Amino acid sequence: MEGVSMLKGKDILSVDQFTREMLADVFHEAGRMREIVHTKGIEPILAGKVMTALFYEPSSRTFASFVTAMQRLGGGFIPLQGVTYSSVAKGETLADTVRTFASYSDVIVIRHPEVGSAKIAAEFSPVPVVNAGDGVGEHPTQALLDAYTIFRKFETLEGLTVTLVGDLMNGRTVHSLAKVLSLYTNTKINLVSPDMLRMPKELMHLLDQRNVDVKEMETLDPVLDRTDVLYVTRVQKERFSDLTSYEKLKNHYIVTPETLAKMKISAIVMHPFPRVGEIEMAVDLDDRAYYMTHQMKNGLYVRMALLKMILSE
Amino acid sequence: MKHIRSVLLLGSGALKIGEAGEFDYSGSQAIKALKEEGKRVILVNPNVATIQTSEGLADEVYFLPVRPEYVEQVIEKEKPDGILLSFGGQTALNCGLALAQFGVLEKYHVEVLGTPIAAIDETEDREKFRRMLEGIGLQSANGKIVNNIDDGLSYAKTLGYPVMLRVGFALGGTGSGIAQTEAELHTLLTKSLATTSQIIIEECLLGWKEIEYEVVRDRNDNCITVCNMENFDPVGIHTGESIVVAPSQTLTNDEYFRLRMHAIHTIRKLGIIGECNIQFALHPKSGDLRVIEVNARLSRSSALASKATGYPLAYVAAKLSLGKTLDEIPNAVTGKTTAFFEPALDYLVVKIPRWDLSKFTHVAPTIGSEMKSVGEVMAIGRSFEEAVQKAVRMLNQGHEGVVNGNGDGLDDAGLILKLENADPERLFTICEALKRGLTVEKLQTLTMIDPWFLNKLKNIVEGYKGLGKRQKGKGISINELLRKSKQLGFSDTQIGTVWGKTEEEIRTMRKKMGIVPSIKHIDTTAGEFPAVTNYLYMTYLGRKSDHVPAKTENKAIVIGGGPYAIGTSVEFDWCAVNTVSSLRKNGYKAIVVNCNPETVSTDYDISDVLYFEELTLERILDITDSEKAPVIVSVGGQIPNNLAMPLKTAGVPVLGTDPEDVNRAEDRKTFSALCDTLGILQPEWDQVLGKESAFTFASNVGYPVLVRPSYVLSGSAMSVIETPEQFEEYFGSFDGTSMKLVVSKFMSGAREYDVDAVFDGGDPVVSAISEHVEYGGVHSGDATMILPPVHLDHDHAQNILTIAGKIGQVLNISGLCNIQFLVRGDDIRVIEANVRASRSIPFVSKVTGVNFMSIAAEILVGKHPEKPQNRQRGYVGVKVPQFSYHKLRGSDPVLTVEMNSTGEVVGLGRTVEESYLKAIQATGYAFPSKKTVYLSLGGSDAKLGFLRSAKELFSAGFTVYASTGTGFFLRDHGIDAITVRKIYEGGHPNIIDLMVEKKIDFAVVTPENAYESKRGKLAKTFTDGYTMRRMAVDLGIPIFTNSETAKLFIRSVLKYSPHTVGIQSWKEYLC
Repeated sequence: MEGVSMLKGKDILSVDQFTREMLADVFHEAGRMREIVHTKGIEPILAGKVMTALFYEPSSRTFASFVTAMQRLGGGFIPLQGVTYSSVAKGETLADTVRTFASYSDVIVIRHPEVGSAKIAAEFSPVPVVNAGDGVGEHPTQALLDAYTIFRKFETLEGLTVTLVGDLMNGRTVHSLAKVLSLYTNTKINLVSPDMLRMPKELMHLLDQRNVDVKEMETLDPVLDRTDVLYVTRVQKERFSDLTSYEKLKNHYIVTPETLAKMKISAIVMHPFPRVGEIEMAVDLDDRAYYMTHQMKNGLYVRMALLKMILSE
Repeated sequence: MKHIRSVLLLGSGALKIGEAGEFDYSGSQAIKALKEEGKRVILVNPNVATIQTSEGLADEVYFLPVRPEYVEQVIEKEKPDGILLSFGGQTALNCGLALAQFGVLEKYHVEVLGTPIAAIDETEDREKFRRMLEGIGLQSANGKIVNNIDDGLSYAKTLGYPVMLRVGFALGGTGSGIAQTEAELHTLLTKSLATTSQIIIEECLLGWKEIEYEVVRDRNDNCITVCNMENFDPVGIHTGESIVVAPSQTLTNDEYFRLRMHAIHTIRKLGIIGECNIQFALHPKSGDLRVIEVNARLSRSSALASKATGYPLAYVAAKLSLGKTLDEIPNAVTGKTTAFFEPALDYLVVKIPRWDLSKFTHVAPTIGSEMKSVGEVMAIGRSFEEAVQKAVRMLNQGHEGVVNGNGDGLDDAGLILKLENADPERLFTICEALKRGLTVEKLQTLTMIDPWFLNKLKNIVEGYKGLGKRQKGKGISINELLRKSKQLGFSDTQIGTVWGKTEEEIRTMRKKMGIVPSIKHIDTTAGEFPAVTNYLYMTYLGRKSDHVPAKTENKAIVIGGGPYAIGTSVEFDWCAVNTVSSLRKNGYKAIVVNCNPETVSTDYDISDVLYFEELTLERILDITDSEKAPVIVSVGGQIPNNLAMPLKTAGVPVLGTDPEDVNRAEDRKTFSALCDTLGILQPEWDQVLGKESAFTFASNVGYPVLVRPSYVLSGSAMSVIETPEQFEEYFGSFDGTSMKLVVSKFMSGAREYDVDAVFDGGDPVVSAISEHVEYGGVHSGDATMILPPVHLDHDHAQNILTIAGKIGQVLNISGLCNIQFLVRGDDIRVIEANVRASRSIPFVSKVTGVNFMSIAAEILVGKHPEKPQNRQRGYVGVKVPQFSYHKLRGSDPVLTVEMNSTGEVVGLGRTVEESYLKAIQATGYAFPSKKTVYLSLGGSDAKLGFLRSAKELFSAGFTVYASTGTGFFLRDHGIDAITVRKIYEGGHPNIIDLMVEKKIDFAVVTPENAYESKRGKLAKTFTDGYTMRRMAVDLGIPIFTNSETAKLFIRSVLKYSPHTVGIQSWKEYLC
């Protein structure tokens, strides 16, 4: 779609706000951004625009990719990383902070440890707000880059079998990804997790409503040979009530070269990062390990695309 | 019985679905009876619009909640000797039972008059009731509470299928239903047990005849049945949702007397003293009988029975409660006989409920075992055909008769489906089916309605067909056909439509032929004794009139308000009754025309002459032809108001403001032009044709705008539109290309004021300004109102009154007028002016102590009353709307520009907060005792605006739960709020868990709209505001969807409690 973007002037707070049509636009735009980065490295589409990167907690990866995205589009930025309540201004409320920085810039990218913070920022900000993660709440740009990575590989999101493995109860990235996948037809999702860390009921209900073919299981092996995308997340020891069950199950959730040996040659392995041992280093050598390469880069393209769609005239 | 000098009477509070105007009737009658016996009467009723709370009735009136904590304080102060519990519906009964249970009555030595508490208890407790019935060889519907599938299935086996399944505690309204087989029951049980733990399995009485008897009994065990009534719709449709006829029509003589005997046995066994209602289910074939329930109090049915028979049940009941016996009470209708007789009817009465379902969102448009209707009409005729057709017109919903084309767009299958699933149009659908040739037998199978009724409807349908087939010179003569059609209840308009003539032409034709209705008395004795009262109806099935109109110049016809509906309620009956008494005081004979059995204006002793009749042009002209009196159309709301011009055109003198001038105010264009010439500002508006022009107008004046279609499309299409995107969405729901719309600039954040004023030939006599608590955008009928205003400074008040004065003068108003204003800063604008009595007249009259209506009535008949003195008052009146969302399964409890409330209450106090606490509690809101609140505030403005209130709650020790965004915001501002998830966010505990566990006292949930649409920034996401709001209603948790009222509530509960507010009577405030 040419002309004014559907995202122009809008906040990006949650994956829930995206439709298939909007995602197609974002993917299309991300492709063009990829071209820019590969050919010229920079294209001053957003010259004269300024982004505030308001990060209340450290997240070097997300912070850097937003800053780079803005730079590669010729815009300026105000870097506020690792700010705490007192370092922005003693005791200043988020409502006041966003209104202050909104008067200097054209878009605010916010990362905050508390749920609901991005929504409040958006409510008070007269300029668009992008949620770069609010605690255990939402991290929509991560879900978009994940979806884009899958789309780049398979050129579609229809008819794929995606296996989500790990802590599916607490992992916000898998929740968001599942919601995005549910917008497409013929999607099969395998949910592999310990019983006590299963996907929340409400989300299962949503997937069911959208006619997604969902299967739940405790071990990975049975679905490996049919999986197109293996999405791995961490299983933390402290989530278990007793150590025995942790010991018993932990190996089921560690991806090794042997795991990949059982997978299709066309499959890919993804991880939101950082990892703490749930994917062995040796797996990095496999071409199917997309987490270190494509997934990272796509994060840049998608964020460039979003900034462009929100800001460009 | 000890000597009773003073009696405490409990009213029913605000009108709500299931408890409406009938209790104003019963309470006022009781007061009249008590006063006749020389008792001092203390009334507790917060319903400001009632007659019973007017001057000159009770000795003391307390506008306080009918709740034990308040009533106890009244008892402590007034020390009444006795208390009457049976005249204020279930509200009064429940309050009385609680007072007895808490030992309050005993402590203050208050005697329960009439039916003893033990008897009431026996009727309210299902198990005791069942045992009592068994003792006299009767049965109630068998049923049992079960909490698992196996118990349910095995109990159903003992009953035999089909069985009825009811959910003890309904959330979201799923689960109730009928199971024909074990498999069906299994499915239903599984579904219901997912949401509730208690399920009632009952034998299924679907299709049984539903019959009621009204019974009175005195202390000497004299017991009679005053009236029996039969439901047109058999068991399965709530009696409040059913068409009802009196007397019963399909019972055999044997059945009639068997039921009568059982009714008397039951009432004697219970030991009722006074009046009660008993409902039976009778199997149409086997004659099997069940007692559905006994209401040991006056009820909607008893009000209907009183009007149907002329036997004043409430009045008699009150006398019996004081220890009088039936033979000691005279029959006021005959003046010769006593109340110890069973009335005989030589006519037939049909009641039809009035629904207003399209006013509510998310409510299923069907009828069934729950009451949804908001009012009713009663028609009197000498055949079912005549009465039912009259009743249909009385509904004032545009039906000319039962054959009205309703459903003719459906194919046969669609029609049958509609018949199987009863809805408010059922009667018309049946007639459409008959017209298409469906047999009575088939219809009986589909609807289970007795063939007697169906055959009567068939007569009408045949009559209608006969009208169309008329050929000159063939068959019966025109004269005969016309007479027959009138006897079948057809209106002049409907006959005219078929014959291609106007209503006026048919009228002229039939009058020339001498086809005019006769006027008949309701005499309670079927002609055995002549009536000394003038309680009248009209019929084409009579040879001569019983009534001779008084030959005096000094008389006037007051047209009442018709059926109660959303927007037209008891306040207009108050206006009508006060007009009548003012007229009578001034030496005029007052004639009332009305058709609503729930009213006081239809008590035959209120006026000199009462026509229980249609409020149609045809019938009013019939009455003026005979009475030759001028009419008053400005005191009964919209129905009579709409008759002003037609009556004037027909040459009938209309008292008060000239109908032409009334029209100048009602027509937006002329009124606007008039404002322009007077230099009065209005919000910019325009009438536009089609979407494009609407958009152009909106972008010219700027958003937000208020849109309303010039005719109503399937309910509410009036909306506030904040952005072009929203406008696009609005049009998305219907074809907007050729639609006429009124679009006006919406002033957000403006305060709204109502001016009620009385003028005499354009000169102001008295006026009052009321302030809305909510900002403009909430329908004035749903708004919380304060009198005198608190935010209006002296200059602005003067300006408002000056503008009102100009309007009054230029329209040459004589009588009442209501003008609505918006004020923002120094910007004062007029929204509209209505030249008639408004909804707020009883409120302003009672709060100011100046009866606006009485003064206006004197002006209507050409007197020039003195201007009452304007004096400072040391108290504030607050009017709070009553909503009936709890009765309307699924309805969304959010305030909009469309009116939703069914009633109102008032609180008086020294401060706004004190008055508001009383009033809001009177609508059923409990005082926060757990000190917990849930806040979900949509948008930044709402959050900033609410911060102070949230801080006050927090400092007062409240636990503050909040939605994620609101929670973050509050914590960021130093309020230690606990975040609970919304439903769609997943995770627990969520807000529903909190509500179900009853962890919160009240919730403030303001809609997200304002934010979602602000600058069009946020794409629409999920919102479960509706689920939350609905759940709060289902669980009886007070919920505020408007910031301004929420803030007022918080201030009120932090400042006062039920034990610190002033317990003062109306009189004490006034002096």
